[in-house]
Amino acid sequence: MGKQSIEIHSKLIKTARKGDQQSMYRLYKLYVQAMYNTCVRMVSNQYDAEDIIQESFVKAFKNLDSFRGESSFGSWLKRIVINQSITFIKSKKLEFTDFDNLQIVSDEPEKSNFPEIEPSKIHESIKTLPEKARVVLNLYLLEGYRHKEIAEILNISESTSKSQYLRAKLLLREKLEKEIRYEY
Amino acid sequence: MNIEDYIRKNRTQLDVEKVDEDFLWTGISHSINKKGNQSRFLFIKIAAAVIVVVALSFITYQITSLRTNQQLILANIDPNLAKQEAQFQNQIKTYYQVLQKSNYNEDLLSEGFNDLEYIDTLISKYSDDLSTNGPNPRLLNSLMDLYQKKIRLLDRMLNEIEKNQHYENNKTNI
Repeated sequence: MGKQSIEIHSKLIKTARKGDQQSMYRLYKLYVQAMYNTCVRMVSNQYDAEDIIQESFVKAFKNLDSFRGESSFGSWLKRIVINQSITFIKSKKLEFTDFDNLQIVSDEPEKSNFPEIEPSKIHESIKTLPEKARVVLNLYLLEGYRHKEIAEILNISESTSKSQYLRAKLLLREKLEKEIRYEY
Repeated sequence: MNIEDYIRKNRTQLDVEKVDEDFLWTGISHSINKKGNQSRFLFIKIAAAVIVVVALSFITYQITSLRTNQQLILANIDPNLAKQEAQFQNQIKTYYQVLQKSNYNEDLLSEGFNDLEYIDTLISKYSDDLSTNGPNPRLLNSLMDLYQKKIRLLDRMLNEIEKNQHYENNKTNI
């Protein structure tokens, strides 16, 4: 992000803290699409994602004072979105501890030269992964969390996080390869 | 390049879905205003307990009255828009009928009804502006947009009911 953008963001955040809705709206417009896409990949349902995004932005705007600027506003906001998504998934009584019984999927060497595929197909395929694997893949591969962090957030062991990630990766690869075969 | 590297390289292009920004903002802005007022007027929270009793009967009233609130206000301005408005209103009417028939949980839908009320206030305001100031393309577009938002909101409410019923059924089956 350029220096100019950071300055504009700082001004918007400053005025939004004072309750200026126009500034909140501009911040919202800047981030809503990216946040929504992250969320819908996590929860895999449009309506749930819309609810979570609304709740996340309300929470963010109500707690702007707790944003200290130690990270970018986008990263701070994304943390909120991801936390809200995980709370939602947990509220559906998904027991992440079940992971511990899972056998580690063999990590055979990856085939190189993954063929070109449209990003929209990757996005859609991620949404069709089984919930537990999908959450871990989103957090690790797309949001840059480490397995240690994922383990803490989801209350699972680090090795479970790793095995779910491998499972997700294999399933995703299978799905995308099918897509490619279908295309040709 | 393996699948991980490929996805990481194309990470920024994965955000392909477009969300209805204005629709979501309506709810956010409504919540911010509502919550702001709540913190300023603590006594409202107490009064809310009393209001709940009134609200339960009011919700029933809303379902029947809201759909009659809108009139074919555009008929005298633009026949095409009037036609479109009539279609929207028919769809809204159908949704209300489905909603009435479903045995919905008031608590689950209270936010939705509040948002519907808010949209209706705006529709009413825009309709008044149209009557006072005459046709204005921006105002007409906003009005059509509000009808669509109302339809989407009703659609979401019905989806919530369906999800809830599905959840309840699963619970009884377990």
